[in-house]
Amino acid sequence: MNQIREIFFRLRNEPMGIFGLVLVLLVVACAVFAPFLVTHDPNALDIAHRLAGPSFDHWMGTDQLGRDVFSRVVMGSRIAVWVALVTVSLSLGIGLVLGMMAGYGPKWMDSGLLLLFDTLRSFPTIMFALALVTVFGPSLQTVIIVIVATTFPVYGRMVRTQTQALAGNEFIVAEEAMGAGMMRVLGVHILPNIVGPLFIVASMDIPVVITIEAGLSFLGVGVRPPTPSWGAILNDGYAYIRNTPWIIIFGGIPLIVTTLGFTFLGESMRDMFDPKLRKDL
Amino acid sequence: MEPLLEVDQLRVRFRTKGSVKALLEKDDDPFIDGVMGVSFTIHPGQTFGLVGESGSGKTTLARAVMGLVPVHSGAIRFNGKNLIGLNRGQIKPFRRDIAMMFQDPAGSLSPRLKIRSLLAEPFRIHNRMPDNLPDEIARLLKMVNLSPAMGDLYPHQLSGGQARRVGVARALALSPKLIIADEPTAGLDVSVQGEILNLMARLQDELGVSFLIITHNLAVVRHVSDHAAIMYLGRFLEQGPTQTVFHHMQHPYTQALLSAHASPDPDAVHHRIAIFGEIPSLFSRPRGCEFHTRCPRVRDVCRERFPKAADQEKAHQYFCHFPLSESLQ
Amino acid sequence: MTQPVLDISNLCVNYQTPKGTVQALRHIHLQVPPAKVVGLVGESGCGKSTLISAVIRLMAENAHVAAGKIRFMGLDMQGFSASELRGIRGRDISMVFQDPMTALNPVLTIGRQMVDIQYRDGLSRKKKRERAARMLERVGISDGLSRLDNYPHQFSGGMRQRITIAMALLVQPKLLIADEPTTALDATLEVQIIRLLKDLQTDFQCAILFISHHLNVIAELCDYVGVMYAGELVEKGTVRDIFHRPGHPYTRSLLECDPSVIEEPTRFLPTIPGDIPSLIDLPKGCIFQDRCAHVMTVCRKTPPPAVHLGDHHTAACHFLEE
Repeated sequence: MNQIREIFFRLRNEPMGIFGLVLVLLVVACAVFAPFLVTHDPNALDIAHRLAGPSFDHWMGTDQLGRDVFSRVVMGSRIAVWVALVTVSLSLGIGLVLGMMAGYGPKWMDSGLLLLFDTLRSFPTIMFALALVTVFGPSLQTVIIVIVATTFPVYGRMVRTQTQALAGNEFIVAEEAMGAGMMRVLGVHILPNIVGPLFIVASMDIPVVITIEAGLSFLGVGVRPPTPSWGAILNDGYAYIRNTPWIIIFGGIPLIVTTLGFTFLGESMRDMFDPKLRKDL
Repeated sequence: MEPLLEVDQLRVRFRTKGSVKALLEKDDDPFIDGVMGVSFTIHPGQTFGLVGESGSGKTTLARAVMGLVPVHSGAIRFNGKNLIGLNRGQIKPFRRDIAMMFQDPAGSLSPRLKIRSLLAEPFRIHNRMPDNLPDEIARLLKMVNLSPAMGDLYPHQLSGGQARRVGVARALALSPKLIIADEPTAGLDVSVQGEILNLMARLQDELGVSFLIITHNLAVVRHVSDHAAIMYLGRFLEQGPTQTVFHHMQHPYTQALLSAHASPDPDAVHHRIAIFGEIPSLFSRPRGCEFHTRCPRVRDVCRERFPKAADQEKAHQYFCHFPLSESLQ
Repeated sequence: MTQPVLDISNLCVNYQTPKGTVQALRHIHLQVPPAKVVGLVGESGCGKSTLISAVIRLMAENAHVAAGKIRFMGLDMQGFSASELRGIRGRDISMVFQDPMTALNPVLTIGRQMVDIQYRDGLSRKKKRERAARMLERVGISDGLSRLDNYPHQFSGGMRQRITIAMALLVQPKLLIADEPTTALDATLEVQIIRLLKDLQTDFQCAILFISHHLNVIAELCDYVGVMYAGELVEKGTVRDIFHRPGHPYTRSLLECDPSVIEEPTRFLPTIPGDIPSLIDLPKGCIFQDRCAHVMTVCRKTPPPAVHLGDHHTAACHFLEE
């Protein structure tokens, strides 16, 4: 894989990118090895030690039910990473397929899909989430559906524009002249030319998705308690912010770290691969 | 001999407005004509040269023959079978017999594929995988004087001449009977132009393939084609055997086009036929003979109606009220 | 001879690339005399564009002048400050490009652009507009005053190239650099533009450096011609020297390759086989050795001397005699 080697080679000149990469790896490692990192069962109640401050036993203190905040934060990273991966790949996939169909297919298909994209994009995320929760009840699936439904139209529109730009190129006409069908043109010739920039946008969307999940869980329309989502931890800590601020502080730090990590990484990747910004040739 | 390709009164129109908009604006003809009733034939093993300035509709004509733009009326007969009105499945076999070389040598090659995969494309699309694909690709590369090692390169790593030769190799892959070459020498240096044209001539001798060459370069047409046509605003103003068109031209536009070429002799005295301005836009097609806005021999009748063909039966055809062989009073 | 407008002596330009140093121009000697048209002809990769960018001192970041001097009106261009250079580029040297759209701002009327370009002249706006209109009519655009209010896209390709020429001449430059100005145009328009440039040159008496890969255009327009190959000026002379008595084998092959000079129709045209050598790893001896039909052992060992074939005519080849 030459391209991957090239990415790392270029990344060497991007200090912010390396910093971002380190943060991202940290969060991913945390999610992968969560069961080995936790010091307590994240859902075990210990009423005797509720709302305790940071100590040797409870590194980040305990919450109102005496649960270990550190263990909950570590397990929370699993949910965050899981939601981010599932939603971003789903919206990317749906956006790619529908966007390419809109960009390359007949006019009526384009108009129909554009209408769909714009309608979905105009839903306010929170209202949409509340409506879905009323119907299906709060759950991780509901969160994923809400986020996917509101983000794939963004990818879809982007893909459509790029597909249209490519479709006018001579190499696409050359394929059509040889008799290549729509699937072949899209899969072999258009897709490889648009995925690169799309992945960069997606990586910058990951923190957004994590924040939406946290926000929805904070509002109580996300994951069901006692599942340790970062948003749920913040929600728990919110009530006690005056006397025991560490819950909200330690619950917020990983959100900030993840957001910064993916944003730095995404931005430096964009700089590296945007041909207009590239210095060498 | 049976003609290989017979184009009869071909007309290509493009919609300029949506149907709703046209209805609202009471525009009962929201179309422009890209190709306006063109007829010609190409015989097996022959080269037909199509000359025109940019905006003359020559690329549209080529794409119509390839089935890439919808045809309004007329017929395109290939080996006697009309291609107009065939559906996708019915037309696919003909795509093996008619190949196209595109104008932009590197731009017509998919940038993320290696040359090897690009050459395999025609076989994959038509589900005709040869028994030994690597051998077949090496054979194609050799046929156009490229080394088999080129197969590992990407299009942007090739020079213009090399990319053009890959285009030729790809066109040849399925042993077509007709190759449409859109500006085969455009963007190439003079020293390389000859290589491509010689390659095409050699392949014609070896494989008996016919060529439809589209170009604005008159010198190229003069050397390589058996028949030539001069196109202007979607019509053939003059066509016939190349020698006749170049030496006994009848249309003032042909004469002007031929005299417009700069000569490599600094002392040459140019007898230029002054033609004015530029080719009009398709949106504002002039009435009568389309060339009247630039013609030095224009008379009132030219502004009124398009001339009839001088003699339909003859190989040499031209559309002019006052052909050059008739002196003007 | 009077002092040349542009005097390039021993110019060498290198590019630093990850793969090594590209010696894009090597020992170029070229003069542009006042009120003459000098043509530069060569195929892709010969260094024409690098030469122009070196003359107007707008080079790529990784390029630098390794040796040599460029004098404009007797003054060393290297000695000018950035602001002096801007002054020269806007007033004494102007340019016409291949694609007129790159030279015209699409969102401004051409009148606005033609008035703006005269910012150094202390004339009233009205006077400047009148001058612009007269210039438009001079380049063959009738009804100049009302056409000034049009935008570039409202003109056809040939018209736009006429406008860029009008703009270039409006500042009354001493040197006009025309970089492939007719390449994007059809033949009938190409001859119109050449005709126009020729007429204007006689009127304005400015020197023109005309770059093209099209030999015939050079033959028709230029007084002197330089032939470039792979970063070297292999032959230069008057237009008659080059086209009637070409000395260098490259010039001769180039002239033979042109299909329009071959009278008798032939299906097989002459070519120059081979590719240009790598400019990173230059061959010893003559730069044209790999593609030359007359190559001898000496060509592979020593670089050819510049042989004087006439008053203005020199060519770099071992097999030429003075």
